[in-house]
Amino acid sequence: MKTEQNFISFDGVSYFYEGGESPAINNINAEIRRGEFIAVLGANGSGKSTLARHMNALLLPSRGRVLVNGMDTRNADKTMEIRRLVGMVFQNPDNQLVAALVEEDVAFGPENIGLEPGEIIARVDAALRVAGLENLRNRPPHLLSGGQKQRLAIAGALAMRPDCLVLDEPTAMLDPGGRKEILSLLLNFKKERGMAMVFITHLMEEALLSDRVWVMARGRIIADGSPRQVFRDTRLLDNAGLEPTPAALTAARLKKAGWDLPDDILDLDELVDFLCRL
Amino acid sequence: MFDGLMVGQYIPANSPVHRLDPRTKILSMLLLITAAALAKGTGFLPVAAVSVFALLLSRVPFLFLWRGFKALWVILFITFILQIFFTPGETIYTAGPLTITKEGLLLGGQMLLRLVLLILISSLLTMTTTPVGLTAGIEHLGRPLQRFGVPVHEMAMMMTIALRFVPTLLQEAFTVSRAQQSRGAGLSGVTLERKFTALVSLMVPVFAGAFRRAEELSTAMETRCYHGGAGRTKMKLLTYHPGDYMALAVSLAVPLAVLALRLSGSNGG
Amino acid sequence: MPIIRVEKVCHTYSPGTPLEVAALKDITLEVQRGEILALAGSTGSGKSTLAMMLNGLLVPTKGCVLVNGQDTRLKKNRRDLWRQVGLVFQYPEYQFFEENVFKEVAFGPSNMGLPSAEIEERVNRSLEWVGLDPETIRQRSPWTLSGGQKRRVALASVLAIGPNVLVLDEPTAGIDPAGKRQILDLIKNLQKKRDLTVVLITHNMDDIARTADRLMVLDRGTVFALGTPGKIFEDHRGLRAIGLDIPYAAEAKSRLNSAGIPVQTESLNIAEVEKEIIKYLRLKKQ
Repeated sequence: MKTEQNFISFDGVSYFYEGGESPAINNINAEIRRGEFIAVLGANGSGKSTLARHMNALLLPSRGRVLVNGMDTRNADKTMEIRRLVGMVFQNPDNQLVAALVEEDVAFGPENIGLEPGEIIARVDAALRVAGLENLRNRPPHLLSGGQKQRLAIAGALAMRPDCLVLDEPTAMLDPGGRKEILSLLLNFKKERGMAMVFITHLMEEALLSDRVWVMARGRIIADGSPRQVFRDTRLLDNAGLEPTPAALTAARLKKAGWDLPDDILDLDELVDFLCRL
Repeated sequence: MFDGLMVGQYIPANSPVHRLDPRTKILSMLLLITAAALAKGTGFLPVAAVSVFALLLSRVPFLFLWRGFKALWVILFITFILQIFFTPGETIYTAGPLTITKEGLLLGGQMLLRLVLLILISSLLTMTTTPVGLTAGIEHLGRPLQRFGVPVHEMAMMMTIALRFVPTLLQEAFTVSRAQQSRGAGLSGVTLERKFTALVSLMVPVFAGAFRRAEELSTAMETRCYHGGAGRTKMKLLTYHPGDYMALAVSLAVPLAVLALRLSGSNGG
Repeated sequence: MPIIRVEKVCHTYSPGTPLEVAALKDITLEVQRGEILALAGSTGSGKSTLAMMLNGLLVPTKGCVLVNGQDTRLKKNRRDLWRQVGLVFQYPEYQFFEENVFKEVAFGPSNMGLPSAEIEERVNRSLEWVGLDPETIRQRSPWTLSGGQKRRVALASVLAIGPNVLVLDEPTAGIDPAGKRQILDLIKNLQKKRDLTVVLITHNMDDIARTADRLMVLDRGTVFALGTPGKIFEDHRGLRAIGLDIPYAAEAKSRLNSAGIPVQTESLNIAEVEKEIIKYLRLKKQ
């Protein structure tokens, strides 16, 4: 029964880009369980996007195998089924919208898998509602704000009713307002459960939303645990080229100045709380 | 920000013309354009009447159409002038080597009217039909051609993507051009060579950007299970309503009327 | 005299059409010689429109912009403005078009019609200013550089023109945290050592806290606030309501104060805030 729980599993997966000498990801062994929210952290070039692209057969392992809901991604007959189960949202909001109207863009996926028009409409309506875009359904995407475009990309993925949503740095190109829109949407999904999420980011603050964090460096997952467990290890973060949260840095500097602070302070709330309790 | 409107850009409204099936509008446009091409003298009357009626019905502000004409007036003007001066016939006025003939004036006038109608009719189609509807309509109407190996779905998909990305790429070209102006491009000379170099330096980043986008877009499409036209369905089914039959009937009547007028010899000229 | 004066500027895109957008409404601003002025605002606030007015790419539909006292509405004033006000666009590396770094950086100086020895010197000098080694980088294709290097080359290509004012649109967007800090330090250095006036356009409030002397916040084309960053960042609720963040140091300051831990510093430098925390801890211990 234990394997039932694993929705995606990586079995000794390595991947070499054409002409690349060292693997972009190197001997990855990991599982994503149903309904789980995982944040993948890593600096540029750590392999996090390559890893993500193995989750819906956009890339196939050079070595090892990836199973999605028990299906091997190398099995070409299953590619469509796998992509239906695992939706993906990319960094650049402009380059993943296909259609010239919001609602048509959401319908793109369902149309590709040959659903009946009535069913497509029902799914488009539901996805637009969840993403809060009902009022914009007849707009052309190029007139939307960055945050709205990205919510549209998420709606397009949701219309496929996926079991897992992979988000590859969806907030990297947004302004603070747009970033908040996306994060609050993800928090809603987390509350509802059901759908697993893999959220790729290089921001510690964003990763705090997740149940579990993977830290990647040089093509490997070098840490796997709860955000709290992982983030207190400043050496590890340093090794991965990541910057601790600002509050953690403050706590670290106070400690260095000789004050006794716990090493798991991650945000301002915790810092202020601790100082007040003294 | 990209400043300006494109000629024939879709203008949202809820008019009877907007509500027509895109196939109806495409076919009607073809019929009316044929009629305009065939028309002579009084033959222009039914074409103009139906086109203007459709325009009023569509509630498209005149301003938009006017912009379309403004963009094309040079072509209109040149056509008119050429016809006036280079048609042999009864001389009305002579200015040096140039002579204006009666026939020229008439032909020029007709040509001008014909072009104006062409622009009006085709803009009417694109201004009242969403790009998506237009694509769907062309795909549907083109279906019989699939049997002869014409890649109708692929062409429609290309059109969809072009429609989606043209505004984005235009905006990008605009930004690049402004960035280069900020570094003194296009200011220090107006020789042909300079202009060519300026064009190249504009095109390089715009094309590089387009390729980058194309690559990302194709990944995004694959992610969303795109695998060509086979087994693909559509959210919006196209259905003809009574209004469509009416519009088609009227549109069919126009070229017939034009033909009848021509055959009856009442050419007005 | 301020180096740039923006006087009651309004700007409307596509005027007279249903797509008419008022991008700027009655903006007045003076940029002082030698300062770093930040322009903040979320997408659609009009900050990029304003940026393009500073070097004459756009002329306001109402009001005027004076650069060194010269009105940009006059074509003859606009013609040479690009030499005085250098504008670095967002993601400038997407605008590269030459096959090597040297040519890319030399583009501006060549358009000035300088002799080739002078161009050579300017390219080398500006590459050095942005912390790149001219010898090793000049023949490389700009596309093969790392993200941070590309950004520096783009910066050098504007510096080579020798402007007095540098306008930067989101100079740290899409760069990793370490690279971000380097770019900001670089900008501060240039302002100090090369006597540049800098207008920094960004929605990154930490960048502003770290560098800016003054700040103007725009919201949907109007001035939301103009003053010192320290003062403006006190209005948390207002800034959040218009889609902006608060820099970490400002947020820490106010949270600590409202929790009864006194932080009495005007500075937006987190080190100053931490000193105050230590003061409090010492007091507590006694």
